[in-house]
Amino acid sequence: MEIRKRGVALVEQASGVFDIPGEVVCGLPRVTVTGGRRVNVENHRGLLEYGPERISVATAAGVVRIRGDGLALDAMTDAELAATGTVVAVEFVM
Amino acid sequence: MGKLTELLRGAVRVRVESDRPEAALNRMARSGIRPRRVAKEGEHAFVASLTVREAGTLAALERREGGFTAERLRERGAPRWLRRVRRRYALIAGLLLCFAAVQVSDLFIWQIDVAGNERVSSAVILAELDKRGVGIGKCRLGFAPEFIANEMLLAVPELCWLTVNTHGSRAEVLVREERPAPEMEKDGPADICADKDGIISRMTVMQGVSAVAPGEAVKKGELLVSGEMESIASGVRAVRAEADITARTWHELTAVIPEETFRKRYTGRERVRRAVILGGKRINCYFTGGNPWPCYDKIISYHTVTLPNGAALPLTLVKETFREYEAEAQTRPVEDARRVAQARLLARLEAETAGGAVLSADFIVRREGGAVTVTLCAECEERIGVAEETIPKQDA
Repeated sequence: MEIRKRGVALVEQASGVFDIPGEVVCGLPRVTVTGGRRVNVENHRGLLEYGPERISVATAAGVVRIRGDGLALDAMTDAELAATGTVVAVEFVM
Repeated sequence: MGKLTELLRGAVRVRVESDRPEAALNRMARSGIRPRRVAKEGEHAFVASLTVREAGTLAALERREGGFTAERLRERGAPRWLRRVRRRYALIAGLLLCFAAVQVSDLFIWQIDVAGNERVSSAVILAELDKRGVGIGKCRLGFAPEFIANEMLLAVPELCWLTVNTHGSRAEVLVREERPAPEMEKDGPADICADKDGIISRMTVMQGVSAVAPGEAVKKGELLVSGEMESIASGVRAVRAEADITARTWHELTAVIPEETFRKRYTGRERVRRAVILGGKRINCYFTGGNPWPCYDKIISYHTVTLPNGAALPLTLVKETFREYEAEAQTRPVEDARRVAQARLLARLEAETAGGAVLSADFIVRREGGAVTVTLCAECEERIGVAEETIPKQDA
């Protein structure tokens, strides 16, 4: 696990050096927050937790936790999900 | 937009129950199912919207792998509606018929707007257009606007330009009218002659030579003022005679009023006939035509069907009401007949004298042949001079 984390960090550094988008090179998540009412998470690896106040999503860079009020899963595919509601915070939990 | 897509594609609302709803959602996503509008219901269930195909995939996933139970709550959208109406042949036939009717009716003219006319009425233009195949309910495919315009300009000389534009089933007729030629002031040589018999009472000559004097009797057509003037320097020259000539005139007018008159006495019997005018074609909604009774009043009312925005449809409802009456003879008192005749005679006299003054008026009343004959003998004072153009003499 530690080796995998180190590998991901290495590729992240490399993508930064070569100016290549991380989500393309090693499937890093791309999180887009629109106006505090919608969060799109691309390249996710599964839903871990789903509730009106907290949605946790597994990604290659750890767990993305969306905190807010009245959160709802608007759409979900194998690679992307969209949550709506009042977004208070988006956290990366390593 | 998402809801509209759902309506068009069809959506199934499903309730999924599982010990771990998040894991069920992940499995659905991995199987190609894309849940939308996911709402959690308690700790172990959620409700989501799927397409009809995805709902089938979910059921197969439930059977194959288990771990959750899925229940269809409701289905909505176009596919469900189409499935419901699939066996309703009359409805489908009606829809197809409506569609065909709209398509076919688009080939016909249902509304004609005329614009640009001031002196020539729209009714005249529409009547002439109708003779040339442009009318309500006529097919618009055979229109030849140039030909129609040429024909119309010949038929209605007051028009100088016309075009017919069709916008779907609406025809727009644009016209321009001829400008009337300015009236030329008559200033050629002229005499003034009498247009009535009478005795000249006053005479003021502005130009010309007097041929009569006040107090003289003149007959209709007699020369009053000559337009030929003599001067020492240029000899005879023709001018336009101008004068204000007033004369005493005598008028005798007669009016005959029958003593027996008829008045209507309604019997109370009424009959109503209805008809529909669809695109200029009248469709009678009755089978018995002709005159219902020997004496009757006929009241026709037209009601054009309009849309809420005021646009008129090519559909007019016609209601014809027949009211029977009997002609009841009654004798008019002589005094009544005299009063009516006097009023008519005075109106005629006023029209004949054109603003002249009535100096005296005597009425002679006679009863003969079942009628009252009233004769008006009136003395008036009025203008009697009218200009008569003369052709100037050409020098040899």
